[in-house]
Amino acid sequence: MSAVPAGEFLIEEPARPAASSKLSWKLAVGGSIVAAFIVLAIFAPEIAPSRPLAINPLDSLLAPGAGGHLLGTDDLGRDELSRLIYATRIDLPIAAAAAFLSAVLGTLLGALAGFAGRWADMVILRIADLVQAFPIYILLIALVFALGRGAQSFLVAYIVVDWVVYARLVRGEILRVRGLDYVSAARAAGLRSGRVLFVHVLPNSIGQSVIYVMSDIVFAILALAAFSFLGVGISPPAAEWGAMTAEGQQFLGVAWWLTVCPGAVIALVALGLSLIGDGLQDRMRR
Amino acid sequence: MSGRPVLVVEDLSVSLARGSHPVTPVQHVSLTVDEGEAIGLVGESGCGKSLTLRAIAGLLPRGGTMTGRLRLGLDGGEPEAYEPAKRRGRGIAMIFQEPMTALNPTMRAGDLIAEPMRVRGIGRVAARRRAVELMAQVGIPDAARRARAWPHEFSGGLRQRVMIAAALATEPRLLLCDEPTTALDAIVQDQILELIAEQKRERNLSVVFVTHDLAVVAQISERIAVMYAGQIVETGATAEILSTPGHPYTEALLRSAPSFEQRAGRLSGIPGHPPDPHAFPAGCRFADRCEYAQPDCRTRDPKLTPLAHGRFGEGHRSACLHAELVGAAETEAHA
Amino acid sequence: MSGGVELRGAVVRFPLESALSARLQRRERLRVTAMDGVDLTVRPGESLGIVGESGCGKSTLARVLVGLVPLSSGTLSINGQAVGLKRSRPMRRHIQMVFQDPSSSLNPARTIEQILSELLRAHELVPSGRVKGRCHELLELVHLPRSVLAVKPRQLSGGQRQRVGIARALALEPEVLVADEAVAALDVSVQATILNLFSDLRRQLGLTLIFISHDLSVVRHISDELAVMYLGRIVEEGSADAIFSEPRHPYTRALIAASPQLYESKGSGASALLGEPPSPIHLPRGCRFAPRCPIREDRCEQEDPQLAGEPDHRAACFFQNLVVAGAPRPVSTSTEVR
Repeated sequence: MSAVPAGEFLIEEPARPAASSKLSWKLAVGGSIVAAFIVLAIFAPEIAPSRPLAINPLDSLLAPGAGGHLLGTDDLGRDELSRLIYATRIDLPIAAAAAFLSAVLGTLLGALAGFAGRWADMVILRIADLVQAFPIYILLIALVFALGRGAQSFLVAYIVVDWVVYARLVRGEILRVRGLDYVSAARAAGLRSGRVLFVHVLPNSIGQSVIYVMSDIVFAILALAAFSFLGVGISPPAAEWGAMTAEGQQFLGVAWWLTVCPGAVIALVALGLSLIGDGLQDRMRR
Repeated sequence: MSGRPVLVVEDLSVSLARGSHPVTPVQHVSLTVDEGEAIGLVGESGCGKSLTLRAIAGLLPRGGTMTGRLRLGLDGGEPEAYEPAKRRGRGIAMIFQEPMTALNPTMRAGDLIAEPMRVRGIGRVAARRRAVELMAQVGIPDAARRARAWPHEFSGGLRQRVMIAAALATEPRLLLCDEPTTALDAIVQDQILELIAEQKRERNLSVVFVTHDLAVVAQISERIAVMYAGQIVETGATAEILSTPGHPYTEALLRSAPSFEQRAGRLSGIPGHPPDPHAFPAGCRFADRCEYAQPDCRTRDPKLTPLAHGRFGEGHRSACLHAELVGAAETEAHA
Repeated sequence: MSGGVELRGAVVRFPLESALSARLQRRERLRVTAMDGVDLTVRPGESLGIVGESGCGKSTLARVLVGLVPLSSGTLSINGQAVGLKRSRPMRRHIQMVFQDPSSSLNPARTIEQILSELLRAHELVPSGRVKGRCHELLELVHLPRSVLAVKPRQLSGGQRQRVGIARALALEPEVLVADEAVAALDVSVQATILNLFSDLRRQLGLTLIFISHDLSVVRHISDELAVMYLGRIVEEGSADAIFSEPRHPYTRALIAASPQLYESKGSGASALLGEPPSPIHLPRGCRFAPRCPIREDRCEQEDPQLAGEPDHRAACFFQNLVVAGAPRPVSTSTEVR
């Protein structure tokens, strides 16, 4: 190597230190809330004071605190707290699956639209337009009626409607990232299209979607709750937050806790997920 | 040039609130602009020149605060303190770098130029007529028709002209320019610089011209202030600084710039990179990269002081503890 | 010696609207002509600078050379072999590109080691045990420390990222290096070190260097040969020394006069050029520079001048003698755009 004049090329260390791994308070608080719910779901039998389906007609509609029931009982004497805890085993997995599977399908279709060429793009966009043109809840309910009630039909109905958001998000990002120089560099170096898509384009295009998944889980819980409220969700006597709210409305005058408690729990989960989403967004913006 | 100061900046510092660690990218900057004079504020990216300009114009970003004294003497009297944020559009005008984003795409060119006048109470018809006059003055052909055109119908150079016309619409005495030609091609850049110089002459404007390009500043300004790491490190007359730099950074910058003459041989760049604004080093901030660095450069804070006569001319100041070393070494002479 | 590049009659047109839209409006499909008949010969080991303003086609030319943009017509040969957009992977190794923007030329989600080793593995250039060692060698070529391998691009400064970009381009051991405004986004002090690096590498590795820039001073420093582009054509070409000392095309002359210079005081109105560049969608008949040319005559609007002159200095102008004699004269006070 030719002699380099002294001092011209100082061997430089990287200019900026690695990102601070300090956990933001949003991720910490949100993460704790969600983690707590997951723990509840896993250890429900150990944590809940009684069985969720245990009927005790003599103890019906007890107020919170009475008879050892922290949050009271419902009209069949079932312990409200236990039912809320056991409900995590239904609401969380279903909502998470709904959001996650929608994300996967939407991302794949969005990637196809953004990367595979004009025809794929046009076709997928038009299908997306079609789906979005329907009022969402009416579509969901129609699908569930067609498929019958239960968790599986809910999942199918939700995914059919929800993939569109992810597809548009991912497509938009891919269109932007496609034009960036590092993608051109990969193509100029002869890397195969598949590799370019999965290694270079896609990882840099899904940021927005990952954040949206958090909100989407909340939407799914609310959708499930709405379904149960309307009687097309999870069948009784299973404990599910929406169903509990629906059943509780009949007793709003005499047993307010039967509607307020499930509602508060849904709000708390939503808060936790929101904070995680916000925290992720802050991280990504840095 | 009357030698009467129009803008006096004293000990200006700008801080930005960034999460838990505020940062002060501009520290203790002082400069003076006289009537009819153009001063070039030169530095590389991150030195704080744009923030300094924005502080003067009252356009600091959210979370930005400034300390120091700013005084304006536009009407011929003693410069008096002013509130930058409240002073916008009256006497001070600013033009920006990116022509593509500097014009509101939902307003026609004529309306864009008329708006500052309308805000000052001038009637619609009179403002529009004046806008067309201004467009002609800045060299936009077919001004009357073009006044009804939308920004996207103009090329980059024409958009800059529209921006300049809008700036002149308020009859400013002080024009602040934030790299207005950086995004333009060479020929258009030359035309825009010519335009600014012409308007400055005709209206006796004072100009602060921020740029990273020494050659541009050579073309348009009578005096230069060189910034590095948030501080002004050298000021003086343009010709003087270009021929006899008094600060190692300025000298290194001059030697880095390729020119038509210096053909063969190596350009000397400056090894390393500027210090992180979060952690400015003690002592002289350029010491780590300076070829003349002495032991005391890392312990004593240099201040901007007049240079001894002899090699250096009048009004030439440098923030270097050992300015006498600059240029004494063998350097490739420019033609 | 290898590393020769040849373009013959290269034309690149991009459609601006769909065929259907054009048919509905009963007109020829609108296209923008980025390159309109470019002939270029680059000899092995040569250092060629290509200059012009935005829209002249120089970036398109770069992308055609490295196989990112297809030719609408014309041929491209590298080392005597014809290549097109779809070229084989081994073929791609001959010519690589360094990009302009350090903030978008490296994948932000990958470490430097991943970025470099990916290419080495994809082309099976070294056995997998040797990949890391080869990465070290590449970094050494561009004077970066090994610690850079573990970091992501956002931790590096602009100059450091450009060096990584150069290392990446060199990973495939090309004979031809295309630099598309590779220093335009860098500060002057950093630009200087990167330009020196290009010169050193060219000498060290015997590269053919094609350096594209809008900045004449930069090109003057690094290139022996020069080609000036305007609206998709080369309007002047030859040795850089010859062109700078005696430009023969009015556009070149105006470009040189307009470039800001540190030590020469420029007369006012040094660029006598008037008007804005015309649109590359509707190209003028005849000489495409005529609408802005101060010395144009009737002939210029009817006929299209071809490159003419000596083997090492040619210009596409009917009135080269006038240009050499000093025209166009700087217009003194008027800055009006005509």
